[in-house]
Amino acid sequence: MRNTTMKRRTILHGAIHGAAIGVGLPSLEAMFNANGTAHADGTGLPNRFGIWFFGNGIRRQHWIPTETGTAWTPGEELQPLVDAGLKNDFSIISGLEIKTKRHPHHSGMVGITTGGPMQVIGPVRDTIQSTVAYPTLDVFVRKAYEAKGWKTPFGSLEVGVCRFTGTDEGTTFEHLSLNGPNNPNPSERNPSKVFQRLFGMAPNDPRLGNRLKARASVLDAVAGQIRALQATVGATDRGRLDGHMESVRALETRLVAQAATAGKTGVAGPGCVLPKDPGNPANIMGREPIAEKNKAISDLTAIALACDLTRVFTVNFETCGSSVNFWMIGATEGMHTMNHNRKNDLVHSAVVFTMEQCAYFLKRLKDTPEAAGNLLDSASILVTSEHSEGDVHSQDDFPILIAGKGGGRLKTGIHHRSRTKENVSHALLTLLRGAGLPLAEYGYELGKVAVGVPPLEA
Amino acid sequence: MACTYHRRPRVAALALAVWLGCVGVVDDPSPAGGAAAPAGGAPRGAGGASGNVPGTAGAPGATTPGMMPGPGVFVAAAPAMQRLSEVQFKNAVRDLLGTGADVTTDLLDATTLKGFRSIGAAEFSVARKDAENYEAAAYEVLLPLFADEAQRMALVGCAPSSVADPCVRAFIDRFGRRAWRRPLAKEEGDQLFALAAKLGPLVEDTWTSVAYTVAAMLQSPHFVFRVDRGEPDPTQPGRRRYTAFEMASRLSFLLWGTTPDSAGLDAATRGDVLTVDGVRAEATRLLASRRARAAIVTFFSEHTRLDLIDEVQKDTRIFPAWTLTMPQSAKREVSRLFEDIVFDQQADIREILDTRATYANNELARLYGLPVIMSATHQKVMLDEMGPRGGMMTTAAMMAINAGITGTSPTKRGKFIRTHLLCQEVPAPPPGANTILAEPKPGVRQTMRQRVDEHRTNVECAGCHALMDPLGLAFENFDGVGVQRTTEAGMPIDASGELDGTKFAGPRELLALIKARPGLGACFVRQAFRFGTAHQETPGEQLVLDALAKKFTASGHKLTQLMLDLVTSDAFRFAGEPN
Repeated sequence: MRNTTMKRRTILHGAIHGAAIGVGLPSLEAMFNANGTAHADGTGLPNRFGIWFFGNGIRRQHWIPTETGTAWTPGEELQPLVDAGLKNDFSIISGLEIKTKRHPHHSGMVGITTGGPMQVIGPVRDTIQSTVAYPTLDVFVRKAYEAKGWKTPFGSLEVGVCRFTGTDEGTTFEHLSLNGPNNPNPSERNPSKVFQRLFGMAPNDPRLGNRLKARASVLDAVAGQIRALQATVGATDRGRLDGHMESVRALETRLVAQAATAGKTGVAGPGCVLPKDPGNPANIMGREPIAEKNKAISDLTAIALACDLTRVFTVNFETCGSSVNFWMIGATEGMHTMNHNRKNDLVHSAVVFTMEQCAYFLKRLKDTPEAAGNLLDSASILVTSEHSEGDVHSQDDFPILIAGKGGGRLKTGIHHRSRTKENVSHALLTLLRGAGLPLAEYGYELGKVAVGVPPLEA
Repeated sequence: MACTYHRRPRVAALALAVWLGCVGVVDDPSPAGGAAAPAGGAPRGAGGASGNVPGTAGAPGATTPGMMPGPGVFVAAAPAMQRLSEVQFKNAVRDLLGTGADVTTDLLDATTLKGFRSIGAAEFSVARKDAENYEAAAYEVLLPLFADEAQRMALVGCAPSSVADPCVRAFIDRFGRRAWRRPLAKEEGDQLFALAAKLGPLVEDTWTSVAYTVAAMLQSPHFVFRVDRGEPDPTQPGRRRYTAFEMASRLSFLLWGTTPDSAGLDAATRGDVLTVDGVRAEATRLLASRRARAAIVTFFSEHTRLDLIDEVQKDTRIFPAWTLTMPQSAKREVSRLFEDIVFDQQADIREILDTRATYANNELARLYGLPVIMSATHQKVMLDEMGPRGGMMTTAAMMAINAGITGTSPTKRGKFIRTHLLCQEVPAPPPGANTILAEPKPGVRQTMRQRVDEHRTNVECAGCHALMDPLGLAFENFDGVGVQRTTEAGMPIDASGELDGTKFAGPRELLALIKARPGLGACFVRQAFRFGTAHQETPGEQLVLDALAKKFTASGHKLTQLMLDLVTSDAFRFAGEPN
């Protein structure tokens, strides 16, 4: 299946823990002792936050367990997670709903990823174009982490798996992570490019350190140009240049950090095993090798977390309203179309397949050791979609999983069901608290709440 | 199950409202004003004609005072920086650095907004990934270029002895004028010169310092954006015009898809493009070049959503003609046909609706049942004079895009005609509506006309579908990928129908009716205006649109003339107050 014509890079370094790493991974030296098993300074594990998103919803009778509390039996759609040994690594929240003004797909996507209302850009064809009104959760967390001084080279990582097969309905259908209205952080879906970005530097080039510094100086000059330009344009363009500035500064900061450690030998945590370029698995007869791509993207994301290249990530497995073709379960139509056509058995099979992919990702984190446990112990990860059921575009009884133990802040293995159709933002508040942000409230406008989901908070 | 409504009683009320909304189809209204802006900044020109979705219409008003002029008063739209598209960025780099300076890094285009990427490009910022891409693109072309003695000498024009060499300073000003499409301010040049000096100790040699300095110019907001700000018009107090250099870029990126050439910048230096005559002369020069073709084809491709063909999915068991290469073949046919009519023939653009000629290659000839063509290269062919095929609508591309995975879609095809050719608004199905036709029950043979009959008999669906389905059914002689057929499910196909009260027997008669519609030109003008000015028209620009439509009709619907009239119009030359 793999495209063997892809140019392969050699393995950069030894693949056992404690091996010498010279690609400019900051903070690791400071974080781990020589065995890479414990924290040098004795402080807690880093907090980590992520979203794992899939489009078009679930089938509720196969997703929502009939029992609540800890003694629940998975339906077929959550069985893959249980089969992967993850039953006590996540919790299920059901019965919550979108409280902001609704529109098929749009308000669900924006509501669950921002805790706020969608912003309608205008009508298009038989629907609307929309974007977010407020930053998505991952951007909120990234900024909060940076404000606390929890900085990493990449700040956040945006990746995806299935190719974009949506329509031109604005950023809502295309992007998972946005800094604000019409200001997306696009997901990279090519595993080879993710690899190049994270690990692609030539570590043994003696010029590396100075070249990184030179690139940083260039970016500093660009930032100066942006600042000067901002003084001469209107408020709208000034705001867009704020985004440009932020992007340039983020890259500059990373290069400076990498320059500081370039060529030095550090000691990485046991999970920070440098990968090789996975290539970009090619379609076979138009069939997308989704599982293979998911594996590659999952592996790279896990290693990026283990190497502390980022503490915030989004996996846009399948976009909002996606028409990806799940050929492996016998689908001959796109997922969105299949929902509309009420091919609910096939939709169900596709959700099972999707959760198998999610299980691979979460298991990969669980299998990555860190300190006395694994990466899931420190993480707070939202697994969700933009609908509960795609055929009717329902946005009540929303599918929400929170995976990871949130550094001990989250209780796992629980099914909590709201009997009073409460706001989805309750789950988001708990999710963010699990990510190490002791917030009193979260959300915007009709999405704002001051109470989380108490049974899940330790 | 088709077109049924679920769950809430209020949906029925919405359906009724929608149905009533379809009784008299209206032209897509120009926006009456921007929607209320939530915190964080509203997309430019947000809101507007959103009345087709009950419950989502933006709050009216909230516009800048003075933005609601009375009829007949022109008010220029606010200027907006436009991010270069991927194609524009790559073209510009090649034009600046020479052939061979090909950026292979994938750059991301802005999301399409209101039908056009250019509108998205006027709203989007530079995401972190974009900044990384721009950086990679710059070094990808600059490091090899500056490692090559001949190439770097050709670019820089002198061999600098050190980073402090005046030759470097002179190069920065000269290259900067091309890259930023205007002369550099002294302090801008000074800062870049200082950067070269700062880089000196970090890199191997002077040439590399210069390469990195050029990288700063190519990652600059002055390169990755087209910075349109405008300036007070000294000849008309109170008015703002685009500067001469801004005009040079506006013309070049619109008509050539790239940065202005030396002649364009020189025309700006002389101030030529500050007058209508100067703009016309410059635009005429650009349109006469073959470089105009790709840029203008981009407009048509976006207008017809031709790129959607890359994402079209077809069940190849039903449509074996849909090969892996067919999307590209089919796309090329439409764009080549457009180019033929607009540039080769300089003909009435409406010809594209019913021309008897097309451009086919080997596999399209097979799909169309034409005489054998051996080559994968498209060549001009004549279609069967008596057959139903002819014109853009009946091409494989348009038939495939406006269809489903397993069959046709009269609704999509009719909707395309209403919204894209006639600029009419068709209200959306209400939330909760199942909008996809059910498959026929096993053992039941039905034609598509029979399957969509529920749209006609179900009162909740009928109002809107009556606008779309009858037009789309005219194309039932073409299956989901455009293969011609005379029967479906063993029954003969009936392609007759009615367009707003006038009967037609099949696609050719329908297309003749559409071609004769008086509003057709105005619709095309509106699309070209949105593409060319990178925003949805504001109420204060309506009289420009009206004038352009009159001229377009008078010119015999010549697209190159429309482009000339557009770029010489007030809406293209004058800027509103920045917002």
